[in-house]
Amino acid sequence: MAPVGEAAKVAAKIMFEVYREGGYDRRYRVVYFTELNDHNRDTELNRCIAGTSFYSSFLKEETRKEARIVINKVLERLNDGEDISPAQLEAELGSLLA
Amino acid sequence: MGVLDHERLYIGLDVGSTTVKAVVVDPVADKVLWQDYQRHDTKQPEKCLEFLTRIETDFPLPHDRFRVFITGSGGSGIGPRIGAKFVQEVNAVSMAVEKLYPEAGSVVELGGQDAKIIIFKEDPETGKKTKIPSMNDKCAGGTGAVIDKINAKLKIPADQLCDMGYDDIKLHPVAGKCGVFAETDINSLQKMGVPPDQLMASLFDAIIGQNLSVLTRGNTLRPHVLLLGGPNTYIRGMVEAWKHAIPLVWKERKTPLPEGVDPKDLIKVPESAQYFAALGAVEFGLAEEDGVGVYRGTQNLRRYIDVGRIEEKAAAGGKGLADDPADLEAFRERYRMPRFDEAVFQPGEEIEVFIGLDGGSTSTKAVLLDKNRNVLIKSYQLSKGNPIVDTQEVLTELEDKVHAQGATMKVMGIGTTGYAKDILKDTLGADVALVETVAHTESALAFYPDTDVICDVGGQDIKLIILKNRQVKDFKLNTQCSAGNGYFLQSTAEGFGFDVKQYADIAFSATTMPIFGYGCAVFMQSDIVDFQRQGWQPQEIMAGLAAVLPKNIWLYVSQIPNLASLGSNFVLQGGTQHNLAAVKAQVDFIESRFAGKDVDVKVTVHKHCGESGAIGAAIEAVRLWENGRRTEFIGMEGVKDISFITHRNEDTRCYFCKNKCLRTFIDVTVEGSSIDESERPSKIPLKPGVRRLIVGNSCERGLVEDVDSMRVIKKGMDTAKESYPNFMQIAAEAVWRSTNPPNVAEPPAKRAITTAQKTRNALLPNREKLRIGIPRVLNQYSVNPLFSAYFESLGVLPQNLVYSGFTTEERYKAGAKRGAIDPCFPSKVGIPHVHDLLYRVHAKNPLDIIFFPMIDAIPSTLKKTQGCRACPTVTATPEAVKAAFTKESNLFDEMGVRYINTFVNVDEPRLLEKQMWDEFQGILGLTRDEHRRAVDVGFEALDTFYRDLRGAARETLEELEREDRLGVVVLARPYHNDPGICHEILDEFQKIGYPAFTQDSLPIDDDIVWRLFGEDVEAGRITEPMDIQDVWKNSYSENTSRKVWAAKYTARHPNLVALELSSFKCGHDAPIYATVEEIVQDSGTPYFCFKDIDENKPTGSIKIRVETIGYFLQRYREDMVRDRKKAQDLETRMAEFERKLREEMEREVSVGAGR
Repeated sequence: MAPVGEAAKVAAKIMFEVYREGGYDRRYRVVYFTELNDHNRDTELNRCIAGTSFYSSFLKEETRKEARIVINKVLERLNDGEDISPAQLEAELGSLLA
Repeated sequence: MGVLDHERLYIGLDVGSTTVKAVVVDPVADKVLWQDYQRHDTKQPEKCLEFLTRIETDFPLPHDRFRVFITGSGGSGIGPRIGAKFVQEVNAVSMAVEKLYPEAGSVVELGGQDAKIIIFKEDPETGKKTKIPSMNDKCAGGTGAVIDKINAKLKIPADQLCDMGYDDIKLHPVAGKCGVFAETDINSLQKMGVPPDQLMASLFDAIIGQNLSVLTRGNTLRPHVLLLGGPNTYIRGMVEAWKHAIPLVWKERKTPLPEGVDPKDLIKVPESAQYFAALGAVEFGLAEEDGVGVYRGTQNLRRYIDVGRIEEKAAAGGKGLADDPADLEAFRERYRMPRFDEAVFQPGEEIEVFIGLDGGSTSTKAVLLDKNRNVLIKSYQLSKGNPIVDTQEVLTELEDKVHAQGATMKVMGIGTTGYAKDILKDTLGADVALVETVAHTESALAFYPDTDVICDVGGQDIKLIILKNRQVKDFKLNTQCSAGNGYFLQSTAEGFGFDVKQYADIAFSATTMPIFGYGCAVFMQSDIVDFQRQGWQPQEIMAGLAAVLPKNIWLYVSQIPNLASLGSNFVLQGGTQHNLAAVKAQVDFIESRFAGKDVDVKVTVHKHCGESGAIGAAIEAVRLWENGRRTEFIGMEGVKDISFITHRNEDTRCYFCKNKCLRTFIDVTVEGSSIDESERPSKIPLKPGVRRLIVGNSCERGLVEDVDSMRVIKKGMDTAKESYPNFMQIAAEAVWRSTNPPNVAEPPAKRAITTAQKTRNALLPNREKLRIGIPRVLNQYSVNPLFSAYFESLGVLPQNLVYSGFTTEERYKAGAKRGAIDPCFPSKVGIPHVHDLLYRVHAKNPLDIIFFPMIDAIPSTLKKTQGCRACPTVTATPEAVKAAFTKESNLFDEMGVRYINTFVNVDEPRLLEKQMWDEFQGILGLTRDEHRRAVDVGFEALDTFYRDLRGAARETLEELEREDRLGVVVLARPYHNDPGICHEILDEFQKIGYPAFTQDSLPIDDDIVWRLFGEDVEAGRITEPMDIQDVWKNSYSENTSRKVWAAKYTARHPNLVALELSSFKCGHDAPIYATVEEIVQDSGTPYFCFKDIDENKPTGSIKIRVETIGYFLQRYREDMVRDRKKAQDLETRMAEFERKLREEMEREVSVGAGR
């Protein structure tokens, strides 16, 4: 059943995590848990749990496009070797977080 | 109208799967005089007749003044009845395009059930256009049928559908690959309240994505692109979606476009788009000789509609599920399900029982067995949503049935299976939680000991279990496609207003039936509608569907046409086997596959087909009891008293996918348990002694609370993994590391005199700057240390040797669109890896070279082999990759990267030296001496790599021997070490306690190989331990030979078991399947395999398969330890006996001496 009222408001968010791959490439990646589908869910989750969490939280659904841009930029910087803390990422996301 | 003036008129008819299109053309004036386009509602002949009648009325000419040319999927059946000549669709469309839009570079035509793409390429020398056509196959993905299906679901009127857009509409992930998956996704989105316009836009996006990635077969759609066919012509959103997607591909591939034109304007729906095939048929006809295609009127067509079609239906349709009443009666007699009579007990009797419990997702089944494995009582109930309550009810029902006879029961053991098996085991104090495949196997073997194949058809899934030596050798699950499951039969019966229990009787009443094509369920659903319109009755359709079931199981889902290769004893299980119509079809199909073979096939329906899982779990409980286990079952009173608290609120919501399921947490108190999960991260903390069961989730992932919980689980697994190394992963990571070789480069000439010296001095400084990209694929996994050490020893910096990322689904998809051929998956990823180097690595920090050598031969440690060649497909992959990136324009040149795919023989160092010299002398400014030294350094690095790997593996192997444990040897090609190729299957074995060895990690020290192979050498079967002539003579392919040798090694080592991995389409593995299997099995060692691995990671299947293999490994180890203990006991007893004998002898001697 679709969530209604307050529940719908609570549910209108996207759980995500920025993590660093374990094992192989050791790159920073992001997974938007709530947007996973049948075809990529297992792969993405397995990769995520095999990695080390960098930062996880919820994004507001209505501003997810903007949030993605911010996260992608931070990921690029992290993968280029820049020293960025989780708190910095949180600050950059600011009001985009749910 | 002046029609009588016409010499001759040409009729073009396009009879498609959903519509008929017709045109009348005056060839002299080159003018279309008449046209129409209408849905035929499955009445193709009637619609054609209607069109032709109208044409005759509008153009009152004698018949022979018309010529008719017909095309489309229904054209060949109708054409001969009216004198028309059939024109193949691709030809028809191409001819129309060439005439009407000569500037068109490609055509995308989507029809009701087909999708085709034609790309026109101009030969630069002759100027002649060639066509590259491509069409879909048995799958509905990407066709108009998917739109129809979803549209019918959303009940959008036709005019509104046509006006649905794409631009600026929010998109959601929808599977375009399969109509059934698409429907699942749309269902989920709809439940979330996503509006229809977003749903349809998402669907358009998915369909276009599917066609671009699959149907183009790696080619780029060339401008201008014409969009044809109903969905493209009439649905605005489809056109917008194409106009969005194609320019992105052009941009990425730098496709040349006319200056100053918006790329979107190069994609168009031409005027009369729906008539192109019909017009093309006419165009084709203009070149035909006079007597061809002369119209013969409609009388034959009318006769066909009135009489012929009925005769044809009778002739074309099947004869019904049975040949005749006698055949049916004989079948019913043979497959009459024996009535199950519950056991009778004496009042006051206490019966010793074993409980089997199958906690499935939709139903719960329980059985009572006695010590002799006889089924005493059964119980079944549909799930009420809480497995604990379901369990309490079915177990209470079992007990009530015993009590009703005045008897009582003593539970000696209990086994669980099904999705809730683990928590039920903990909660009930059960003796075992058995994976479903093993439970079904144990059950089949208990009743039918000679079983070779189990075919379990449930409501929602199909399991095919193939046995060898009473062990699961292989199995298939239908996780990828919904075709062929029992639910499809049930929903069809219900759609006709029948209960599924009536299915067989109704289907058997049909004396004829339509023939369904096996394949996608979407097409079958639309076929049902078509057949109804053609006059087929429900009983006939139901019979036809039952008849196609085994084809879907064996040919479509599992793709095993050669059933005889699996064995001759088939056991049918699962709830669907209660439907005798389905059984009849399966029996007939299986038997037909043995026709002409000198084998008697036996197909049996399990007498407890619906409860076989529960029976298997109970049988395992009996076995454990026989082995001395005493149950810790909480007792029937305990079952009734199980206490639990349920939570269902925002804290239980799952965020692991867009469904955002509101789950229920059932916290079960496990009496006397030492479980303490109170430290587990959770929004709803757990108390000590409480286990949490999560229900209400729509998928397996929802069974874990959140990602932190996953990490806790993972941490436990990682600890296990550390104890059980995986040499696949170790090798996969180590092979790319710098070996820190010595620098062997010669300094620059102090005084450069010759041209060569001057050139070299100029080139030398470049070495430090040179950036070389190497794709992380194929035989680089075998030999990369050689090349990395070679370059580094000459002064290339280690950080400037850059590799593509490991294979991932994402990386594969990003680059796979360029693939023009369809080899094995490991070769197919060559293109995505070079794509990754070009578009990710190079884009950030430019590369000078991409080095992807064609490795023709690999060094070998084997002896007396015919050769050590690499697979030719693998060897030539760098050339295929080159073609992919240069076929339209040379992307390497355009991006400023030099692509080098040197042909090398790594088995002959001096030949390799020459090959590398020829390639790199001019690039690196090499001297002969430093080059030779660098090649030598490379080979040393390669030796060191393998020596280190084998040394570490030896330590692990010795540990296994000391501790009587088992390790898994992966019989696979070295490039299966790539985590994206092997899908990290071996990680799953690590998690359950088995280290994994690769072929190349197996220690080859003399003491070990002589211990294993010494007897064979002494017997003269082989000349030395590394010789495989005794089992494999055609030993020219190195990786194949290594696999055979490793199989022998595994077969001879008591602590090793074999797991074979093989990629779909591996032409070098196929000839040794039987050899490898026989080598391993003849030694009594278990053999397991994952064959036909491709790009899809079958996660669910891997999990169940690993659990299954884990069970048999556990049994194997139990036997091994028991046998070893027996041998030790025997040795101890023999030593004791010998000691006593000696004492006696000594006593006798001393007594004799004393006399």
